[in-house]
Amino acid sequence: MEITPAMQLEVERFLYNEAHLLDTWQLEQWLDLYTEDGVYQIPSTSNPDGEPENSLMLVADDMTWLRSRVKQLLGRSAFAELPHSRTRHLVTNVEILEVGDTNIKVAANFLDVHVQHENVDTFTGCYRYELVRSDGKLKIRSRRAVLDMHSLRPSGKLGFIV
Amino acid sequence: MDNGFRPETFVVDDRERGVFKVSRRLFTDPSIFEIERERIFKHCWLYACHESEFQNNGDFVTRKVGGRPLILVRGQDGVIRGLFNACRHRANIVCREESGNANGFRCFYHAWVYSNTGELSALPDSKSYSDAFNPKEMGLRNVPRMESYRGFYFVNYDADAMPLDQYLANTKEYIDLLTDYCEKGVLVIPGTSYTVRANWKLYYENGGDAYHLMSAHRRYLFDFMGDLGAPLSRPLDRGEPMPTLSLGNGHSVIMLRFDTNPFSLAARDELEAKRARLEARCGVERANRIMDGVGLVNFFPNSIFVDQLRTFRTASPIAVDLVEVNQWGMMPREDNDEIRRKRLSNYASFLGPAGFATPDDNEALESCQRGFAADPDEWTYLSRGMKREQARTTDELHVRAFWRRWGEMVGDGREHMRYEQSDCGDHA
Repeated sequence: MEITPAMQLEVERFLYNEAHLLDTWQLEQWLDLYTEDGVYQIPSTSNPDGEPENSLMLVADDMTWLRSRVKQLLGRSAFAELPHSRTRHLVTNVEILEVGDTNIKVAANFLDVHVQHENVDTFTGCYRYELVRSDGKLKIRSRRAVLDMHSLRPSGKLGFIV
Repeated sequence: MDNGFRPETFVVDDRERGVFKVSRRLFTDPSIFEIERERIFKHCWLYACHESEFQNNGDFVTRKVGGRPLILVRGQDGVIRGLFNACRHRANIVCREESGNANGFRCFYHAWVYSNTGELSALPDSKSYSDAFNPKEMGLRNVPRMESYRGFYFVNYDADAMPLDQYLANTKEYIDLLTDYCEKGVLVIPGTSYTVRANWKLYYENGGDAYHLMSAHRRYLFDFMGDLGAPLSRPLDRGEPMPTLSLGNGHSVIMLRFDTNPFSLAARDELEAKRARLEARCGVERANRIMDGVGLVNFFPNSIFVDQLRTFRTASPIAVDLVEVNQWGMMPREDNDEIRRKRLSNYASFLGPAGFATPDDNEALESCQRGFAADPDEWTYLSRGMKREQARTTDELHVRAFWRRWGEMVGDGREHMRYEQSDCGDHA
């Protein structure tokens, strides 16, 4: 299927809306963007191509775990993010890689700025999404955030949604 | 601080009254940090690598151990060595890859070439040197000492250090258990390296600290495990206090049987099958000991193995308020895909920068480091369980054992203690 300007715009707006939900900590609405079989992954910096079968992933959430993650972050026991830090997800270089009959594969770059206490920390990498259409709306079937860093420093906490 | 550094000024070990406290200066003073770098990290055995990381001759990894860049390589002769990753010419980092396989290493600066056993095998125009230049003496330097126990390789920058076997003292029994758990050998899976904005000693204190589990990790034990249908429903020690043991030379083991985790939920059948195989191989008693696990084993000065999560971690000082953590999964090689996936998933649930527990640990450490500013001369109290006959997992014996060895290593006029074994327990 052809990649049209309308499709490019739709995907970009989808990602910008997603970033907005994350930055405003509307995490339940962010969860609603996922399909029932959705997956959120962050591979280890030691193995950016790693999979849950063979590497120490940082995040390998199915929807049960992801719902729990969101519930924890909105609760009172996720001390690493209590009170909530300020984040700014900068999403750029949005590229539609492939358009299938039922799905769209998307890549984008990110620079997450994480502000907590007196620290301003940045994390950079690229996203890989598989989006599908449900009732005319785009949904996330798979979201993978691949970090560029070898070692997370000076901040080693990824308590927030990358 | 070079002359007259007396640890007893900063560490109070009052066994009669059961009071153990350390000055918060020990976490914030840069001159004490330098003393530690000199007197601990140049004289202790530091974990470097595991033999299973080298399947073939020529396999290598590069990493910093105790702040020094090393090439850890299995040479053509099959021997695993630690070579300083600095050209003998002008110190250029010779091997720039994280890992791989190589017959030799070529420095890109002036094209000096070293074999994978460390010898200088070639350099351009060697005739330009006088007889004073002896190529045989210009190979990559070996670390002064490198020894292994059950495949765990440690290095020591002090050529006169006691043998690793002695240094490890009573940890060896636990290294045996956690290694024998792997029926066909260990598979090392590298984890993510990260830093924490805290003094390195805070990280060690936290690693084996069961006391904070119920509070700092409530979201793991109750929220997360609750969402999986199995929140913690009984005391962690199951009503029968499990011990913490001082293992000598500053090491300790916290015998925490932690089965409130996804792996214990998901892998009951596989674990039963494993127990049966081990029983057939080495008898019921030994199998039970292996399957019961070791809990958390702390190796002085800066490493910890957590058996429920099959993870080995080291904490290296970068600055007085910055520590670098490195970690490796040590999985049984014989695991099939499904059980391996379950173990790896278990790791992600708890450990690592995005787990449901480690970020809270690291937040606690960073928060303490910020709290030191309230009064740098205040004391930190580590007295829990000090007068008990047998310290429990939730007591602070593991921290006291650490500090006692720390005092023995850093004090002026005590250099001889580096070469002596030490009890470090509460009742020594």
